[in-house]
Amino acid sequence: MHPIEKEFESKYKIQMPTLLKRTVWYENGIVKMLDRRELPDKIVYLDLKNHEDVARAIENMAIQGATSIARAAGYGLVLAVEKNIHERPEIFEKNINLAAERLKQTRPTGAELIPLVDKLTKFAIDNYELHDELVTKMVNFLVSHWANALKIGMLTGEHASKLIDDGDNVMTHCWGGSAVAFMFLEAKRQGKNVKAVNTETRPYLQGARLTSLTLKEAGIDDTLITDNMPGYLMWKGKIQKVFTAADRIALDGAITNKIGTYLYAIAARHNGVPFYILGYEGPDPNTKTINDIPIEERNPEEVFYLRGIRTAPEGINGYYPAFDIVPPKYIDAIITWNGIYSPFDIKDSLREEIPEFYEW
Amino acid sequence: MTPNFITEIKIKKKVVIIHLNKFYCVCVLVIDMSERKWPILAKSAWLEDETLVIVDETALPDKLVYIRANDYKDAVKAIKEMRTRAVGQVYTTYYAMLLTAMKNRQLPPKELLEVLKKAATEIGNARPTFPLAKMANSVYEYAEEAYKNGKDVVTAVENFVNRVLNEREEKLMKIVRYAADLVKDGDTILTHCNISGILVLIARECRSQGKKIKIIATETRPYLQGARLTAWELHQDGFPVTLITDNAVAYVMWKKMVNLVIVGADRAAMNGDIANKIGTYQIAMAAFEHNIPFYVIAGIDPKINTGKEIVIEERDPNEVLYFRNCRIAPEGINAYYPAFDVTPAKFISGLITSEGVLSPHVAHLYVDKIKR
Repeated sequence: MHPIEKEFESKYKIQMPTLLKRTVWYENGIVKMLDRRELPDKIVYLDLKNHEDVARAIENMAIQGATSIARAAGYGLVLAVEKNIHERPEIFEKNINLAAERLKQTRPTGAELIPLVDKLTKFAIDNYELHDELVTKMVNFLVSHWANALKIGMLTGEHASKLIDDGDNVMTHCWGGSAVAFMFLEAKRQGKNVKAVNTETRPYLQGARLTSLTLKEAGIDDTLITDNMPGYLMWKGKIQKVFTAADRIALDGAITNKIGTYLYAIAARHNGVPFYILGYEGPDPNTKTINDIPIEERNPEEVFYLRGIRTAPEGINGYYPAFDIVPPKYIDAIITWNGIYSPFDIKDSLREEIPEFYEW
Repeated sequence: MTPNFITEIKIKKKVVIIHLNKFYCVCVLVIDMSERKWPILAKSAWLEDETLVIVDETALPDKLVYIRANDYKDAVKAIKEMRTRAVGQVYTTYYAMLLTAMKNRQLPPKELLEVLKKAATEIGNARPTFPLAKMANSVYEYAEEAYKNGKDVVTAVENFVNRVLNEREEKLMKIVRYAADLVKDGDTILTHCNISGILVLIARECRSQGKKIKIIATETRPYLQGARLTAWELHQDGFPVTLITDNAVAYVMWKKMVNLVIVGADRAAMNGDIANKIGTYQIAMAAFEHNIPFYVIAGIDPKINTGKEIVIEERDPNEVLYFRNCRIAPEGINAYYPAFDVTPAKFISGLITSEGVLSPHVAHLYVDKIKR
């Protein structure tokens, strides 16, 4: 058991929820991966035997989330290293580079995938002489990568919990990662009576599938609503706070997150409900303003289906922006691993460098 | 009479084949150029001779199925099973009363009235929340009055039903013209849920005025009336329609893809607040924030003073947890399903009524003409 798992269980007295645990890991020559496509009905782990299997699993969306995808690709590289470690150095280098290229091409938009694979490829080639120990080193790196990310989520959630009052109903949208679970668990640990409301999050239903599952496993009272209901619930006084994550935070305090976040920020403002962002590592130093945030527009076909069933007539158009942008004026605070910031001061969170909580 | 140089005329579907002799024939393709006056959902029940034809809305958009009702009992069944809703129920109710009168015209007037009374009661009880009883009873009362004055009951019922429905249609067409006046050439209208064919009529009116328009429709979870009905009916009529999920509304406004919003309303209060399908309120807030006009097609209920008095129906949470019998969320969590929400008057640019586009703050002055 990793130290962070021990810390979790002693603190919250429950088993770690499925999506907080490692969802991809190395075990006796194979890579195990949680198949998120089967959630929430089934918790199934895939057995991946080589880097090609891993690449295909990533392409076929068995795994989601920028950090998890990057780590999965890292494990794919571990399998390639294990297979080639007894080859001559030039063959090893050639095959590792080929595997790295394959893994990097799986989901080109993820910001963390390429740097992580590049870092591990360089490490493997530089440390070829470690032979069998190289695999262990790489696995240790990936485990601490997971543990560090989870620690950042834990710290973010702990800071966020301070903003929750006893008796609050807290709304969230999409799946905001581990900080959502930590925020509720920590508020509960402080003796606050807190309940969750979450949107289903069309078209992919990450809310219904991932958030509802995690909150249920964490023992948090959770109510699912459709994406057109938050405004009404705020009007009725049934929501006291809104917390969502952000896919990217600009230095001017604007954020981008799953489509719908902007709509709920507007509804919250008109109803006097505070709107908070779980900001984890903080802003992206390379994204200066709201105008520098690109928005991914995905295949409109995805709007015509709900869990694989066609909902719309043939012949019409669809439009599927995957994310939207919330200007800082609608955000009451951004919570990062190192504190609570006004969106207009979010740059300040970068003054402190993120430590390696778990070294490898 | 057939001219003698024509040997035979055959009609096969839309083709008329005229045989001139053994070797030559002329084929004439017959195209019905008259556009159907009413979009299917604007008038989804009508009489064909002595049969009441009702569009089965539960089969849309996959199939266009017609229910053929031979008496009011068939009509009551269609209403109870929710195969017809909204405007369809209104037509079904009036025509079911007329059908009952027509089918029983051989009865002595007194017995005919009794049959009509029974029909009015059963239709009125089909769905208690919709004012069907009031409509059906008005037909019966008119028939009774005609009988007392020594007039023919069947003729009286026929005149009454036709007059009521004509008045309704005239008012509707006024609303459609006022709405179309709000739309400029090149505009994109965003709408939510389904307004029973009215948006198709508005789009047609725009088209006849030479305005090119586009429509963005929200899918409207959990029942998907936007995807199933609105997108379908507009597409059927050849209008460009783009479907979005309910959470994409603020973003499309931010991207300047929307010029105005038009929605319906289940109810409007005297102070101009309206109740409509869940989601309407947050769309109104988003429109307000982007300076996009937000219009509501509504008649005022004089018995309701403010939106806070409107009782919001809360439906079975399983409708959120399941989609076509497939569970979309883990077991053990709760769900909440308010079917409607209230949009305060301050977010509404205008109520589109048969009396014109009225500020929600003054619409109550016209309540006698626009009440529901």
